[in-house]
Amino acid sequence: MRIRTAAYIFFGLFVAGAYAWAVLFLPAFGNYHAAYGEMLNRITLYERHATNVVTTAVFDYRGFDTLNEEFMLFIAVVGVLVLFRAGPADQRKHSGPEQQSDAVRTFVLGLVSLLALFSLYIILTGQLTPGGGFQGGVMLATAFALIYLSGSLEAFLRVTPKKGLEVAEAIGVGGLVLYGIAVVAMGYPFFQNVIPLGTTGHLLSAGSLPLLNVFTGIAVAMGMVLLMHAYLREVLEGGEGDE
Amino acid sequence: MNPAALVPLIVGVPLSAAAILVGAGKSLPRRLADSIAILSTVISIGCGCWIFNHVIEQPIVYWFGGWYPRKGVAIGISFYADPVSVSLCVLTAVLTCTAFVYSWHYFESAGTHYHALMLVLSGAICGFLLTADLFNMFVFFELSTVSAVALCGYHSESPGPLQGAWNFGVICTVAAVTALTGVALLYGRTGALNFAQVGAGIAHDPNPLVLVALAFIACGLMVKGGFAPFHFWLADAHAVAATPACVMFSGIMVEMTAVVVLRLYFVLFSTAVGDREWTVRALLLGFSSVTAVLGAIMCLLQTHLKRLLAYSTISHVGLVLLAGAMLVPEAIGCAMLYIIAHGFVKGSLFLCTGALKQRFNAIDESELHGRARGWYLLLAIYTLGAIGLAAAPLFLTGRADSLVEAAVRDHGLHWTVWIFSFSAIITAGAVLRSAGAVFFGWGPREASSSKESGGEREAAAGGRKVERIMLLPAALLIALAIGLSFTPGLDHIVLRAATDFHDGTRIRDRIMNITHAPLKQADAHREKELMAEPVAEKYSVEKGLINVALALAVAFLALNRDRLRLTRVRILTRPASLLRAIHTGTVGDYAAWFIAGVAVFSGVMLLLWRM
Amino acid sequence: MSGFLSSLPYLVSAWIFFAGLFGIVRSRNLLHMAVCVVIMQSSTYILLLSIGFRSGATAPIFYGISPTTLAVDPVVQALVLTDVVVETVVLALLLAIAVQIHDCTGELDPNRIAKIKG
Repeated sequence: MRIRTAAYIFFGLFVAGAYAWAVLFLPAFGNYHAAYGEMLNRITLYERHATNVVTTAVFDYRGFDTLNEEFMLFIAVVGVLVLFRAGPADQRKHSGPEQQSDAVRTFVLGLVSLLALFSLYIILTGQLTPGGGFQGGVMLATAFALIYLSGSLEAFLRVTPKKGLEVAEAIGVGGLVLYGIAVVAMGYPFFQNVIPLGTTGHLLSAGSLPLLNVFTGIAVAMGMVLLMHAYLREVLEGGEGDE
Repeated sequence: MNPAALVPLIVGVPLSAAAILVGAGKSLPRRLADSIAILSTVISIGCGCWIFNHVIEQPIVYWFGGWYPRKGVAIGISFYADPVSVSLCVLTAVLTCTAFVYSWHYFESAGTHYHALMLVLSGAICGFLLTADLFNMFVFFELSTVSAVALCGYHSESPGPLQGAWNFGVICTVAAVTALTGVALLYGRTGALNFAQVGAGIAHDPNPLVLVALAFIACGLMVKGGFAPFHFWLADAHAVAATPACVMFSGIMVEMTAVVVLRLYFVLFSTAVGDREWTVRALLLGFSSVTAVLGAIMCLLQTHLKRLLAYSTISHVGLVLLAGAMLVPEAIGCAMLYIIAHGFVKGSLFLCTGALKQRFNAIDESELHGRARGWYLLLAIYTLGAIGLAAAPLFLTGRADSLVEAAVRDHGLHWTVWIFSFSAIITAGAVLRSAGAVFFGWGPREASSSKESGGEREAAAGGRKVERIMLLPAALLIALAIGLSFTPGLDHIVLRAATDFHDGTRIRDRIMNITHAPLKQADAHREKELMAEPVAEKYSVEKGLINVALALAVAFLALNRDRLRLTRVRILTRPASLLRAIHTGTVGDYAAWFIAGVAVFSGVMLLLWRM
Repeated sequence: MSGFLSSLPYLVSAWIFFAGLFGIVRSRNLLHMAVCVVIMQSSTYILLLSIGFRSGATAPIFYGISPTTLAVDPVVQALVLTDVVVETVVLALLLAIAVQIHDCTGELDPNRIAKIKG
């Protein structure tokens, strides 16, 4: 351990020096002018009828990155399920969260519905204002987490049937890639927008963006809930042990 | 339909198949799931071959989303499909296909998760090879890491696979972050992510930032490639991963990084580096020759069959970059051919060890000692694989070897040929030794060095029968490794592809759709010259035979190490035990080695630059 | 701004990079190590975002503002979004492996789980 640390500090100083030297050649902080970003800022409004350039970059200009990143989430969820399929060695149950008072549970129930609604709003207006499939998807997943936190592991497991979640997750990522392939089959480049652009600022504008946002929202939300499900089962329920 | 439109399907088909398989889940009968997986790889192979036929004449630039570059600014993400990347994609699909055929009888009950992991891994590898966008490259790098880590920990009920997966996951993420830092530096300097645009941006702007970015990106990728001193995770992961996953890891996932490092060098950095090319050449040659030699020696020291093959992979990926690092077309052609040849041979060898593992529920030479007596079919495949590693005549590896000879004859660096021979002989010798021990019971029987390491528990009790069909993929891969070397005009295809790969400026122009510059004068001349004399005539059967003979001699010495008292020669055993001691299996050590490697790479680079 | 100050955000990211890696090198606990990997990865967010920053510019969202308003670089923000998901994914997988290792061996020290070596 001591040799390892000494080696790290010795060599790390070299690399840190190289890193520090390199950043001196970056444009000074706050003075960035890149043709790429500039161009996206200028063309998005006119060519994509979207006001949120970041979402447009994520789902259109660099949509292929997003597709693969969704698959990364998807395959990590699959990986976690694979890792946990054996179940832990000791079948001892850990205790779940403490049962909360009725007031807390009622409050949480209200919060869950609000949160679900708000996350749908965030997903659907991603092309207009800050938001999009990721942010909304993660919020939707926290709605499920609240059910667990309100004190009921059983309720959480009941509203998150593993099989249904897996299907939904597959629909989310599958929708993204199949949209791309369908576009290819129509004779256009992969992931090109083939949906009418609509009026800038409207809910269903910017062509493919709302559709892809919805797929991403499903994939992210279901992926996160599946992860929670797998972890809670593994740690609290002693795994499933049946796969 | 224009084959150019099919380029994204090389990645899209396996990914969509993975989504469909998981979506259908357990409602899908096992055989149907297998069939869908195999069918999707067959579609990939078909697509790949068709596209290959096209890109041999004219490489394809594919812009996603129809966002073509404007005024020299790339808006979208592009794929660059040339013979090199497409042929390696076909190799990936072939290996995936054989892995699925093999696992037809391999897992008792697998569900569809295993298929999804394999398919996403193969899609990620293809994307990584094809992409011409720096950030997209990082995404594919991580995608392949994540799916490979999950595959590595597939047998999650025993500690070995978990340790392997942990080391793999942590160190490759560290590597990805380092590479991404390099990408961010380049983005900050040039405001671009496309290979062509970045390359054009830094072409006349050689400064320390560019060098540091090159060092970070190259080192990050080289971790995945298992180059010394970043190679430690590789042996840990390979030794424990499920056999079909090993085929993918060793066959292409490791080697692909060598290709992309070279691609990045030529397209992005070669113009900026200019006449200081020798610094890069020296560095890459240094790293890769150390890797080749170290891997070969470690290979000889192993008794765990999969770990032995893993070290031989390290040695051979060293050879791939050793050839590529000469930075001349013939040698690059050799590197590409070698990857394909090695992928087939190593895939076959891993499938053989998988069969042994399944039959006898053991993977260590000492436990298998003489138990496979009389299993002649497997012996034949295994031995053919071994002499394939030795670059024997008739094998594709032998053809690749001859290209290196051609390269050094014209460009110097004669010592590289010795490393090639050394690595080929030692690794083949090690595999032949294990064949002698396992199939004939020759040689001393040692106590198992690593009881836990055979962590796979596919067949917990006693072992199961191996269906004959499970050996079919292994035989098929060997047949491909031999048969493909009879492809008419192989050398010409390879050399043309390599010459094209080598000309970074032309690739940049092609990606940005600038009218094709004519071949550089020297290159055009060279290409003509290369076409004039078929390399096949230069190929010497004698050298291949000598390699095989020497490999047999190494195996003989190793099997009789006790009788010859080799194990008592201190000058041999001391360094050997020292070498084994630094492979601690602890990821903290690996991280320290990683930073040391980056320090050496960037330090030497900056120093040489200042000279 | 002076030379040092204008590079300060980049140097902060370098510091986080090496601090995270230091944690990985020194770590005696798998969970700690997973968090260190996340820390290391977060250095790239700071690097990317500070590269794309422009003084006095607004967010690249042209909802209700003039299309000619000066905005910061949207590309780095898109990249960071992707990067964050990558990090989450890696963390989920690493933690699952850590849980599994603990179940198998009862051990959380990465220096003591090494069964394969040499």
